[in-house]
Amino acid sequence: MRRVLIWGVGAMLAFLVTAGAFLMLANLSSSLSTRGVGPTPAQSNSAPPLGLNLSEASLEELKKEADQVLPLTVDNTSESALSNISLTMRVTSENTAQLRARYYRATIKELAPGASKTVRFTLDLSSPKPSERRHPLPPDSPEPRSVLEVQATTPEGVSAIKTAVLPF
Amino acid sequence: MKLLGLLAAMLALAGCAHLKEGTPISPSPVGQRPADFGLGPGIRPLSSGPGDKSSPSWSPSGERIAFVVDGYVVEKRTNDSEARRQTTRDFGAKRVTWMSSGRLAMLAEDPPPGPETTPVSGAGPPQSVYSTFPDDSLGVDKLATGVSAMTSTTEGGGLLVALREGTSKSRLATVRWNGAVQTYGDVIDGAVTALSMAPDGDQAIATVQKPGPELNFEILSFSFPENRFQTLTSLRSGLQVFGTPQWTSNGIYYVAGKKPGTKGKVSPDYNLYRLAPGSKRSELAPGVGEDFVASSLKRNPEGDLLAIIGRRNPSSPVNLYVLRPGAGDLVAATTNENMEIRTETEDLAWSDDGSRVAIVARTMLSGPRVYDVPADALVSDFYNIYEVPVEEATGAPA
Repeated sequence: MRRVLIWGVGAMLAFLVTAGAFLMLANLSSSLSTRGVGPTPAQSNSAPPLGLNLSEASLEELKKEADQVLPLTVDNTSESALSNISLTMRVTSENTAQLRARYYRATIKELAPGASKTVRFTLDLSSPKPSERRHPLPPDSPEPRSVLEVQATTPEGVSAIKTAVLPF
Repeated sequence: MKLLGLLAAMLALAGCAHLKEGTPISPSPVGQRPADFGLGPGIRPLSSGPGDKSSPSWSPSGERIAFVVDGYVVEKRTNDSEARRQTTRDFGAKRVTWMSSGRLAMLAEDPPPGPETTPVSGAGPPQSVYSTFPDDSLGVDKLATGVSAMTSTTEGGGLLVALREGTSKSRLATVRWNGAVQTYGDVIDGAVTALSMAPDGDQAIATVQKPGPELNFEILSFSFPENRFQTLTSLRSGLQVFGTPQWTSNGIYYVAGKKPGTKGKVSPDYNLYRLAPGSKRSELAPGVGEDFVASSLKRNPEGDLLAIIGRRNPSSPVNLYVLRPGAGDLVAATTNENMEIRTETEDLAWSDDGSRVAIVARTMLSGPRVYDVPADALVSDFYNIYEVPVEEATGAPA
């Protein structure tokens, strides 16, 4: 009888020690994975390697007409040169029924570390022609806003985006 | 035994340790974001990105919302950012409303008429009512044509519509999702410009623009059990009813005035009126103040509250207010800082449980704005749908 009791206590002890060890390991691994999700503070503070700058002064000078020049400055904030930076400017309307997606493209062949380059886009911001609209605008509808979306990408997968909303 | 107890305690501590370190779950960009979007705390967007959104409609459960985006119809769960398109992009929808769970009814303009077609005065362009298929095929059924106004009925998941009769007359009819149409009452002399139901579902209100060169409006009630119309009030010549009159437990409320641009008027001159039960004389609605400028209104499902888009006075910002008719409690549900809130009746919708109101708004923009995100992630720069909790306003003491 005593031997059975000793065996029982021993088995229970072995179970508790093993289970406790597994639980501690599980907690350790889950807390590590929680900490591992998301950027570290140092990473989140680091600037992206490509910077796009649309000056508000230039944007304010734009009119709802054709041949509007908008400068875009591209900064290489990384420590290595970037090549073949593809720039796509997409001009659309707040009212998506207007088929006014006008695309403008440019490429920067080479941009040294820390260097900047300004590209001038000549945009057509005039009202869409009737044939460009899916529906006529209701007579009392407010003026739809214009949306300029510029995206820069490199063959290495570096990308940046900037969106400007104009009141017309 | 002491060793056993120690081991058990260690085991319990190890098992509970993880529960203490709760990891917060980030809210989704649309639908759950607690930020202030310029309308006040607790008001959250239900849509995002460019697109002229209008005509929000809550599903009967309140878990989904449908709306029109630039002429096509989408619907989504209120807590998701993903919206499902329900029609083709060129559909031309003006309004959408939930008929029954899973089916939407839509009012859409008919294709441009031929040169020999005579336009109907006051009723706007010809329109038809459609319903969506229960699947996601983007297919629609045409339920009725020649429709000038539509509202969902309180019961049965159907619609009440005004059908054109010739060039200057109208008739009321109910339309079911299976296409069954039943006409009611006599022919109405004039074009029905708006329809709404009484809370009990037994009566409806029709706004009628009378034929003729002068601007003459009447508000009629229609009793379904008696199958007859009654003229509630005739407006003074030159005055126009804006939006859709609403039947509340304390009478019928409506907005009327002269349209801006009419002779001698450069700014809107609207007033909120009340027709007391049994009265044929309208009065300025009590409880809102003399300077209040109302633009549109919608009653809650019970009919004891009115959501009103308006201004406290002509120089104050547009806000959503909740009025308890009869009690005179006008409570602001939004605190508009710099937003344009749409003022059409159809851009105002109560959830079926009466706890939320959907409105459409965008921020005022005097100059360009620049962001580091794609346009689809922007909210307040474009007309988007916002959910306004009104429990605090509706819980105000009577």
